[in-house]
Order: sequence, then structure tokens, then C-alpha cells
Amino acid sequence: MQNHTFNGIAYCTSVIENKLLDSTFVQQTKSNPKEFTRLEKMCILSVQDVITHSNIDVKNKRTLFIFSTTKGNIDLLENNTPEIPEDRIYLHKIAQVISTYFGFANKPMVVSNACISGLLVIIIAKRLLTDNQYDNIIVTGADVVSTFTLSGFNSLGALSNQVCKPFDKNRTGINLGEAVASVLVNNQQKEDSIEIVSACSANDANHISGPSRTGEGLYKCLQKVLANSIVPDFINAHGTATEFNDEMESIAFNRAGLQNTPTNSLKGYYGHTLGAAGVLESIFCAESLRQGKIIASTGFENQGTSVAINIITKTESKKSTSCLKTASGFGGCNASVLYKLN
Amino acid sequence: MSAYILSHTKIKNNCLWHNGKLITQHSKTDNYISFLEESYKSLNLSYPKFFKMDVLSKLGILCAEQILVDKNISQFSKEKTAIVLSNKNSSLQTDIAYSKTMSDFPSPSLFVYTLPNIVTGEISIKHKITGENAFFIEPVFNAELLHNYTELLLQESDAVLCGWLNVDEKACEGFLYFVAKQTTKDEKKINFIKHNPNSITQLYIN
Amino acid sequence: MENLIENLKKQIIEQLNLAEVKPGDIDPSAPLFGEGLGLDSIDALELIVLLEKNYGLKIQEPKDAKHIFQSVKTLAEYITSQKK
Repeated sequence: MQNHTFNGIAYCTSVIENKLLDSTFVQQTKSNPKEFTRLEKMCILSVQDVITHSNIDVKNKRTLFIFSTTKGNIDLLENNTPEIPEDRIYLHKIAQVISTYFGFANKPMVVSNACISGLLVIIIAKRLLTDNQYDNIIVTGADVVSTFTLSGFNSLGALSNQVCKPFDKNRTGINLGEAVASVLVNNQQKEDSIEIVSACSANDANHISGPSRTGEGLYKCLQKVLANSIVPDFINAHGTATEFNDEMESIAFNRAGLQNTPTNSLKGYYGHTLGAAGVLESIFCAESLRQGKIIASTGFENQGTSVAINIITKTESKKSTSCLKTASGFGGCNASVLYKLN
Repeated sequence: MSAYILSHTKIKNNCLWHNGKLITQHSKTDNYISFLEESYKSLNLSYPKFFKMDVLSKLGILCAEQILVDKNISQFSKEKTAIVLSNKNSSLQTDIAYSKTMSDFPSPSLFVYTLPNIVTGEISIKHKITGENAFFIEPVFNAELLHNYTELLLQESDAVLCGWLNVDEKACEGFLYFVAKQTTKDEKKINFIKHNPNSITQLYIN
Repeated sequence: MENLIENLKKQIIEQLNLAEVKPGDIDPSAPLFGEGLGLDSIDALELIVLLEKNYGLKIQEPKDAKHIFQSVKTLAEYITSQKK
């Protein structure tokens, strides 16, 4: 996380250094870094990692690649990149480039649904697998920091000039971050695998950029996802550190009886990664479950929401078997997934 | 119970159709933005927020209106109605419009529309629909994808509003349809169309 | 002041895309938010842009501007006070 200045305004954001990205890309792919955008390079490295570790056959017709992003290569609108064809501004084209690179037999599926995109593609993968349409699904969530998104969130007064403080009384907004995260989803139950027990998305039907004040959509998701008898051991919230998001989430958690469940938001470590957030943060949930550790929220000192929730303030060992992941986004969308450690 | 398409609308070449019947058309100009605004007026929508929306949302609101006020549709639970949309361009035209404001006075009211699923939000707000959402990006209209995901959602949702809403520099294209499970008894009442990729494609191209 | 109020009405209609509203429909003393024109949080942000674009006046936070944006009249009064 670093401080930057943009048009005279200070903000705090998390970016990946270009030299490091390019050298890693060249080293691991032997491909020309100039032929791919920053986002694409990050995606290729991420997907390559999953394929290498899982040893799945992407040329198999029972393998699918699902891609989630909010703004894709939006930095193409502002930078002069003659080596990159103009059509890479299209989100389906980015997915196609990644898919072609690895030789996936199936055309990729692309989802763009604001900040719930990353969680939504995990949900979609689960539904396809439950219906036995595929054996293996690689799910990738990706977004980069760009002048476009910085400018936009700044115009909404949503950026913080310090490391964000989710749920804290003195929170002043979000930090933007960039990331690509990939997971392999399939029906194979192994030791240490993470089960997607239940999942849901729902719309607030209230406002296109502000969440429902009573957390209607998120509460609806929570009711559905918690309808079984599993009580989550912790919650990884969306927790963007805006006044309204954190307030809404705390209300929804209280309505669902989760006010005492240890809760964190990890966005203070790497920023709000938009289309990558749902996948990235699901990975952190998985690792918390596997390693028996809960991670502290950044910057929480005093309750900053009208109803209290139980914010994790210290990273410590805690054996957990299940957790809840939530996400909310512009357009009034919300999503929630209940994960369980096998 | 099988799924059927109960209602559909289309906007193409500055014409708006509902269930195959021409509702509005704009013959005076090629300007599709004028067409959308004229259609709003002809339909007596009385929804001032319409003028704050970007083109994609205006397109979606107009296509959704005829379907959602249809008396065959109002019986379905809005809490259990999903919205599954798709397009090729995401919100590109609005992205470009916003980027033009970046150097001088960045416009927050434009920025909030720089995501394709905002149109889902606008439809949800106007009609109080609170079910599942998904927005897919495809190079061309993909009936199989929409059919497949809709059928999966119908295992728990009662109905799905699906379709394609795409805005280009020179034209806009909308095709929305409403799918719900019906018992065989209801099927005989009205001329329902069976929900499958072929019938969806036929409605899209005709 | 009258002139400023009339200009503001036109600028607000344009900046906020209030296509169905005419300057004559806006009561300068009526609340802009809540009732009256029923503007929302995004409109408040656009009013901040309007102030900077048309009058060179910068407001950092919509919260600070609550009393300024109460009505067209209070907005006009604020602009006038800043010009001195």
C-alpha cells in the first residue's frame, strides 16, 4: 500500500510494480511482455499457476474457464499502446486471449457484475458443477488500478488518503488495489479441500450506487446461505471502508444474528480489487480455514457502525471449520457464500 | 414443470416491439438516443430518473417495461425473479463518455454508469425485483448460455428476465424475454413459447 | 441575485439531467433534497461539480455542503458571499 497523488489529490492505493510484473512474466512464460496488457500478463501468470499445480487438462471439453472483471483493460483508453490491438478493450476479447494462450477447448465465460463479480463466478461455477456440466472449472477474477477508476471513485468522494479502516469510526473511504486471483473448482472432495456449501446473490432494488440502508439484498442472501444448520466460525466481509457499505453490512449481519461472529475485512492489506476481490478474498478464507488462523482487520479502533459487530483486531490461531464470505456492488447487487473445510 | 417464454420485447433499428407487435418507431431521425427518449414519451412512463440514465440503462428500462407491466407477468414473485443480462460492449460507450470528462470536471453521475450491470440495478429499482443477478459478456448474442444459466436458476427462482442489451457508437440493440415455469394446464391457456435455445434464437433474429 | 437564481435553475436542470423540469417549476426556497426536486447523493456530487465548473468554487465533502445545497436560494447566497 502506498501513498500517491493524482490531480493534486492524495490517495492510498496498492499497485504491482511493472518491472517486477514483466520480469516475472518473461521468466515464467518465455513470451513477449509487450504483446499483452498488464491485466493479461497478471491473468496468464495466475492461470498458469493453477494449471501447473492442479495438472488439469485444459484441452478437455469438460474443463471451463470463467473470467470476472469490472473494467478489464480500461487503461487502454488512457495510454498509448500501439502494440496492443484496439479490440482488447472488449472484456470477451481479454478472456479469449487468455484462453487461446493456454489452449482451452471451450470458449471462456465472462462475467462483469460490479464488485460481486469475483464471488459470483465462484457461485456460477458451483451451479454448473452441481449440474454435472463440467469436471473442472478455473475461475479467475481480475482488475487493475487505472486513472479511470481512480478518477471515478475520487469524483464520488470515495477514496481515502490513508490505509483504509473498515468498520472504524474514523473510516474515510476505500483504497483501490489491483489483483488477479484464480481458483480451481470441481467436485472432488479431498483432504483440506474447501466446500462451497451454499451461495446466493440478490439485488437491493434501492439505489444504483448506494447500498440499501437496511441491507435488504445482503440480508436476503444471508438468510438463504445460512438456511442449513452450519454456523460460520468467522466472516470475511466486503468491508470497503466507505461510510455506507460498512454501515449496511453491519446492519445485515445483525439482522442475521451474526453480530458476535468474528468478522474482518482484509482490504486494508491490498485494497479494493473490484472484480478480483471475490476470488482473492475467498482464497484468504480458504487459507484461514486450512491454517487455523484468523486475520485482523486493518485500522479498527472504535466501533464505527450504528450496530456493533465483532471485528477481529488481532491475527491469531483459531481453528475454524466454516466461514462466510460476502460482497456487495454498484447496481445494488449482493452475494454471499458459505465455505466449509473438509 | 417446464419453462416457457411468456413475454418478450425488442428494440432494433429505432423500433420497439412487444411480443412481435410494433409499439413505437422513430422514422424522423437515425439518432437512437432521440428514439429512446421519444419512446419514453409515447409510453407515458412518467419516471423522471430515466433522463439521468446512460443509454444502456434507458435501453434496458424501455425493453423491460412492456414485459413487467404485462398482466401475465405480474403474478410472479419479484423476490424470486432473477435478472440475467448480457452484451458485447459492457458499458464502453459510457466509459468513453466519462473518460472525456476526466481532464476537466470528472462527472460522478456518468461514472456510476460505467458498469454493465447498472442497467440490472435500474430495472430492479423501478420494478422492485430482488432476485439473483448475473451479467455475461459475449462477442455475439448467445442463446445457449442464457438458456443454460436460466434453467439452472429456475431450480430455485420462479422466473428470470433475460436477454441482450448492447450499445454501440451508432446503434443500440435490446432483446429481453421473461421465462417462468408453467404447469401444463396453464400452457393451454395462452400461446406460450417453450424455453429452449432454438426458440430464443428465433425470437432474437425475427 | 434574481439573475443568479434564474441562471442557477437552468444550470441545475442541465447538470442534473432534469429533462422534465422547467425553470419555472423550481421554487427557489423549496428544499432541493428530500422533497421538492427530490435530488439524491449523486446529484449532490454533481452540484459540487457545477459549483466548481461554473463558479470556480470548491467544496470537498457533500456533508459540508448540506446548508449550501438546502435550496436554490441558499446556493445563490453562498455563491454571492464567496464573490466578495
